[in-house]
Amino acid sequence: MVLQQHNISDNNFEQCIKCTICTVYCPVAAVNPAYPGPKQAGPDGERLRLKQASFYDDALKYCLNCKKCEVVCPSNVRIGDIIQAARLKYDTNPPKLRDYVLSHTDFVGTFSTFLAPVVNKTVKLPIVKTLMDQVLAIDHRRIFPTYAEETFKQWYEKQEAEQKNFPRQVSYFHGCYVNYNHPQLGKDLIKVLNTLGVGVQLLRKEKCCGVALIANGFVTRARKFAQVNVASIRESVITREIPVVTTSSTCTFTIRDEYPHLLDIYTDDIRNQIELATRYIYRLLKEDRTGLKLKNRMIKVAYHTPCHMEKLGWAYYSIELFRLIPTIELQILPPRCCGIAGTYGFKKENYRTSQNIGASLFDEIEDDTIDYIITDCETCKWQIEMSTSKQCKHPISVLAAALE
Amino acid sequence: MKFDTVIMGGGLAGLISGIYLSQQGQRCAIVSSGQSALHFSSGSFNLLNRLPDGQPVTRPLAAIEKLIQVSQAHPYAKLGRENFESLSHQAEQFFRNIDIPMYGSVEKNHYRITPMGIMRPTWLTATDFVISYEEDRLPWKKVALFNVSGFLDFFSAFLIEEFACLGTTCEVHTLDLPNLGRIQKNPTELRSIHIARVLDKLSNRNYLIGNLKEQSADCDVILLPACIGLEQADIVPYLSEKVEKPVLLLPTLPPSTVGIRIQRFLYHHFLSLGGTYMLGDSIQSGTMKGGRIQEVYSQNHQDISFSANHFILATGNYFSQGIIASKEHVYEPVFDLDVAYQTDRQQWYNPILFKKQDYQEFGVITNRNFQGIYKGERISNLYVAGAVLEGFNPIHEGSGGGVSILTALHVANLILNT
Amino acid sequence: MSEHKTICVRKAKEELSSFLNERWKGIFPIAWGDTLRESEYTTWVYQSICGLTLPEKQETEHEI
Repeated sequence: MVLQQHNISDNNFEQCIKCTICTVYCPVAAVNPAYPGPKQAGPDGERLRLKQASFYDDALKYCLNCKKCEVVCPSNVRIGDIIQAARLKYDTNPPKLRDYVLSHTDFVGTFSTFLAPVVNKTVKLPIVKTLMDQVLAIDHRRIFPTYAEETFKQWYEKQEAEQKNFPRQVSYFHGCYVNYNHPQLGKDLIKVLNTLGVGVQLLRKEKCCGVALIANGFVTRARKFAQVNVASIRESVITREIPVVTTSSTCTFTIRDEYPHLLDIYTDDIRNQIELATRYIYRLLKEDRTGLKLKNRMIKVAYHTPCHMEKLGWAYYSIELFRLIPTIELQILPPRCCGIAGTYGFKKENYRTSQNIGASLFDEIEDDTIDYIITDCETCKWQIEMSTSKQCKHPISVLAAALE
Repeated sequence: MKFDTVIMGGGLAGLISGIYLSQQGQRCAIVSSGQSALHFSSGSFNLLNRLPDGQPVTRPLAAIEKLIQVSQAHPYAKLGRENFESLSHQAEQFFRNIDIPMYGSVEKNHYRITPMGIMRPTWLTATDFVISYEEDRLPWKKVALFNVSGFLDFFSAFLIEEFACLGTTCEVHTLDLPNLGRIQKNPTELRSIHIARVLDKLSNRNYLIGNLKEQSADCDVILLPACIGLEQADIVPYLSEKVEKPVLLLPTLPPSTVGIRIQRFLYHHFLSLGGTYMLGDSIQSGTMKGGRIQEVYSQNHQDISFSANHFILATGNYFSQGIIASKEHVYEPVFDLDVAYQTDRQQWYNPILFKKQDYQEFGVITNRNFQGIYKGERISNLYVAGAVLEGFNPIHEGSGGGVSILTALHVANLILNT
Repeated sequence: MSEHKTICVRKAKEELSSFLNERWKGIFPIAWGDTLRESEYTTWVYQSICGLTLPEKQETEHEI
């Protein structure tokens, strides 16, 4: 007789011993009583759903996919993945137009940068906000990021030749935010890396990482984009032996973890070659400390750890880079969810939950006498800037500004 | 990444050693794969309730010599009587001054009340909780016992019965806060923490005070389940003051609000001393050279290693996977250190659940200096502390908290004196 | 009436201890890996935190 030695479930829900620690730390369960909590939504619910699909609870849509449950779980259960996989498998509700608009960032981005001045003015108009609220259920209080008139890709084309001259090379997965909204961050990254003797290339073909597509149920498109991205990354890291760096914690986490766990895409051969730029720079500076010459101007900042960053475990690198800058007084905020969770917080039915989740973080930020907040995630940035009086910058931008 | 000491495991032992080392100026990193067993705490820590042969202990300090004689591999035996005494006092001092103070003494155990109303000996108990110095009675004749309607992790019926045997009568009342209806949508998930988040709100304070005052007219004391004081420190003394009657807590089934508070305090204290705490990561391997650990590697940091002068293994027991049991053998998953266990699996268990289970005694072998051993060779800069250690049975002896705290402090001392 | 209630509560505790003990008999032959982890956790919650034990007469009943 062969005894089954190890669990064979897709996501390891069998390892759960029902200790409920995940539910203690779930930011949604703390403020929204309609959400049963990660234990019940995840491993507990999975046993029931495997028996009968009608046990699927629609309330799973309230999960932020912040992964805090996974971070605290003593049994290494992939709770967040179990919940997301269940949503993809059992949620039979057809996606709304709103969800399409919010998650198809490539499409909306291309259109909006083309008409940037018009779009930026329009989304601010009260009547447009009311219309979006009533018709699309996009909460009127939510502020949209502005669109750039020239995409990062378009700007980069002019730098391409020059970048090839550097002795070392990296490929930059820029993501939708840098491309359509904030190319300055990409420019800052190039400035910092060039100073360290590293040239920046773009991937052969880049699509949106797909995190919003997955969260809103557009699995087929997400998978298509993921396959394009993985092929491009493979071409860079394996064929040309050039590592890939990123600036968005969520894009990084999505490509490394969500692609294999939720989209069934093989990434084992490339996963370790995709990393956040702050980690890459940390590595370079360990080899040679003299790489960066920095200006003298005292600033006081506080670092906010995005949830996906806590999951990656890489906040350490962003923080260590600041310790290098003698003129920065750094405070580290204890890791808390800001509440926006990407497209989640834009949806009218989630707005209140988002703001309640982030409330204690906003209070702490307001209390502080700091110049600005630093964080690696663009949606955290939008949330903090909307919900507090402080400005929010990316670590790479701060580093770029501090260079002589 | 370079640190003075890297601590593997972020539970009670890991945090205590991290705090102590950081207080002495070391730069420490704690790597913890999840949250710890502190989340199930009863609000008390046990030092020594029974000797390994089952004999009850009322005075741990008096009993320790006997333990050392009969149980050479016991962590307390490796400490020795003198250290056992001084470290206990040091721990008592530390816990008296945290934001949820605890009292008790190594000289004599006092008694805590369990969620089922049973009296059990213990060493330290949070001051918000009910204790007794006598095994056969409580300090009051008449108590007002409150429960929150719909809360299933608290057993007033058991408490009433046990208290009656101790000569104390209970008047039971139900708390029915208005917004409680909203949070009862998922009744099986109405846990202590959900209730605490409601009861801790400033806006519910007056309602709570009014209710408690009204319904405790001729009682000596008000007892509440421990589903309060999660977000707020000293809410219980505050209530006592406003209600003009002592208010005390009784523990509930997990999750434990007091356990979470203690964890949170220790965590923030460690951070405030400059420590780095990496949650959701686990150390997977290390490189050894010349009988020393050079560096260790974690799941999240992959090729970027942690190097340090010293390392502490405080990864806990089976629950936190500091010790893993396969069908045939029991092993320590990070370094594959030598582990003391019975090779005949039949010896792991007693068919009677509540008797001593030998599997709970398995753990990592160390020398008298708590240094880990790999294939018979000692690793000079790897110290082992807490539940992962060999030679003691935390449930049978009632020694879990004590072993974690005392060995953590001791190992930190050893490191500072190298 | 209250005495009857007292007996019922006492019996409830005994039944719980007995149930846990019976369940353990079915579990321990395969108690390794995650099963052992869960047993450790369960034992800790009921025996250590709650203070449950087997009443003496049941102890002798269960001894084989």
